[in-house]
Amino acid sequence: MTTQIDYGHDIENAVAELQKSIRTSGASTAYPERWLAVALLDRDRGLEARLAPHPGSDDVIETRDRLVAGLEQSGIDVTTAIAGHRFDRAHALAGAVSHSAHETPTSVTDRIDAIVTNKWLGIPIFLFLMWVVFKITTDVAGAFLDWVDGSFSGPISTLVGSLIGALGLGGTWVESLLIDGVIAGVGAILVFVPVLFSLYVALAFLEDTGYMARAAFVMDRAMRGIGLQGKSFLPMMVGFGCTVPAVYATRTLDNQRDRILTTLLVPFMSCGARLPVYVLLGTIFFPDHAGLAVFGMYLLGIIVALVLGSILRKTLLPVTQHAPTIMELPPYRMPTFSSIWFSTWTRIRAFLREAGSIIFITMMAVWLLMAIPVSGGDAFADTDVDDSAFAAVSGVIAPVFEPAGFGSWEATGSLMSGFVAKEVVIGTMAQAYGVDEAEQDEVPGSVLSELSGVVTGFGTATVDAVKAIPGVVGINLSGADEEDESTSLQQSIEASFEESSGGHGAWAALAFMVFVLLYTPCMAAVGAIRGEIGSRWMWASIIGQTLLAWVMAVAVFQIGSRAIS
Amino acid sequence: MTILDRLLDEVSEARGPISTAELGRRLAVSPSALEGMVSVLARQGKLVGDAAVADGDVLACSGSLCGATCVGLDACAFIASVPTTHRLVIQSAVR
Repeated sequence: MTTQIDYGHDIENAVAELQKSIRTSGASTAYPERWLAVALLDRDRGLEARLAPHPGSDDVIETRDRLVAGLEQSGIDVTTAIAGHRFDRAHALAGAVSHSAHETPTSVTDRIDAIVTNKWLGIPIFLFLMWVVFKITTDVAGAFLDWVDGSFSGPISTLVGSLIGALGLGGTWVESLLIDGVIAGVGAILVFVPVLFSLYVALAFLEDTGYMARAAFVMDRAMRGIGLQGKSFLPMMVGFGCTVPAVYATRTLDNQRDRILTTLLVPFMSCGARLPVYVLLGTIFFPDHAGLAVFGMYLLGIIVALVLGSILRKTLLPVTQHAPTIMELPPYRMPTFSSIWFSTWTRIRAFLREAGSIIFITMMAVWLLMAIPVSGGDAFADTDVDDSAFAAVSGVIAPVFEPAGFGSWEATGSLMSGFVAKEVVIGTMAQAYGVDEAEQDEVPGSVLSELSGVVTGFGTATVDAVKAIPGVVGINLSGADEEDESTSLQQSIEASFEESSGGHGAWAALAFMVFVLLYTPCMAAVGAIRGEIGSRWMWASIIGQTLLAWVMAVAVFQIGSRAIS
Repeated sequence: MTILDRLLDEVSEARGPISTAELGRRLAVSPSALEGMVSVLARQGKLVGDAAVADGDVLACSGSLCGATCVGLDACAFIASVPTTHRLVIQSAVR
């Protein structure tokens, strides 16, 4: 086998002519002429610089440029052709001295990929895994909800109440602030830490195994199928965690129109902050299918984004062509406990940090508005919450949501505060409905007895969670006659939704969940959208999302409740 | 037609993204050889490598825009690892 590479007829002619030019121009160097000619045709800039001091080099470069222009006019990209012929030679040499590399046995990764990235199976497998994730989130982690809730409403409230009493502040606004504002509001959000914990563990597991890269691959294909840039799904996947970094992740996209479109669609991906709302309402109104309800919300978000994206692509934001891509999928790996723990903990820590900052401040603002009486009879922090400034303001807007079945001031107020951050929706609900809860509360026990209850409650929750694991695949170890007891907050929410919807509480709750899914995620996301695509699109996003959320919520309630009727 | 031409053809004719494993199978080359080819084509401007989301310059998740759900890039818990992609430059029809 000859060692000289044949670059093909056209390039070989150019090489020969350039060699001749090198010889005749007097630009001859210590380099072999053929090697020099090929390197110059390959546009080796370093070599050009070294050739420059030699006499006649300008003539050589001029000849090179003329030859390259001629080749390119014939449709030959010289640098790619030269590199291609070199790879061909290397490939041939490798084949000659070794057994065929491509006959190596198929790896485990290849065998799994043949199934999970299959054109027809890829998306159903992705959806099934997402369903399992949310089933685990609601069924397994749900066992700990009551335990954490009991801890807040039991010993923590009792302890704080006792301390306040000891300080002589019992019955004052300070007690209301700490019990009704901090513990009921922020505590109600922290109750969902186990749910988020299980979600983040499941997602970290899928990420660490390498599956999430495959999810991006199959969704990329699906999005191209309806005219969207496949890579748009990558920021959207980030959006399942948090909308803000997802908006920034649109910078990976190639052109401004794609960035605008994806930025407008990212908020429809249901972030972690919306999960507690789904879990709470799902548990109340769809106790046997809470996992399915949560999964349905995530799926609806994806579908809405795809449909809306397709419409916008064909109307306001047309893009002519999308470049094909090569995607590097990492091999599958067995996740380690430490990596899953690290990923989960950093996300939970971010959630807790929020709870201690902006959410805390917002909950205090909500408490303040709930503490201010609008009629003259009551004192500050000692007013019926129905007579508060918060109820009055929310009550003005509440009729807007009557067609969606949740036109109560409590639900409306929760959605209003949710503009700041979605975590606040739950906190506001706890404060708004919590007054009724306080009225229904039994006389609290001693701190010690309640602490003992927390310890035994944790054991019970752990056992329930373990029993719930087989339930994910349809095996019930909990016993058919075992039913969860609703908390008074859950009962209050259920009664309120039933009342505002004329007896169609489940449809109203579903409409509420749809609204939470589709309207503006949070103020931080709004700021990120403004920073990335400008104020005009930011307003379009806010108004468009809110309108779409309202229309979808009304449609869900009206169609659902009438169909049942 | 060289192997690089075939690579560019396979990518441009694929309906949707193509994985490096699948591309390697179609061209009958090893993953490391394919990596070299992709790298050469990227240097030549035929392919554009897209930074993974985890790369720092992609996510400026910090500064005045941050609020309720953003704790800054260094501590951002939600940055996801996504596959590295190379996009075909459309106008590279010239071979």
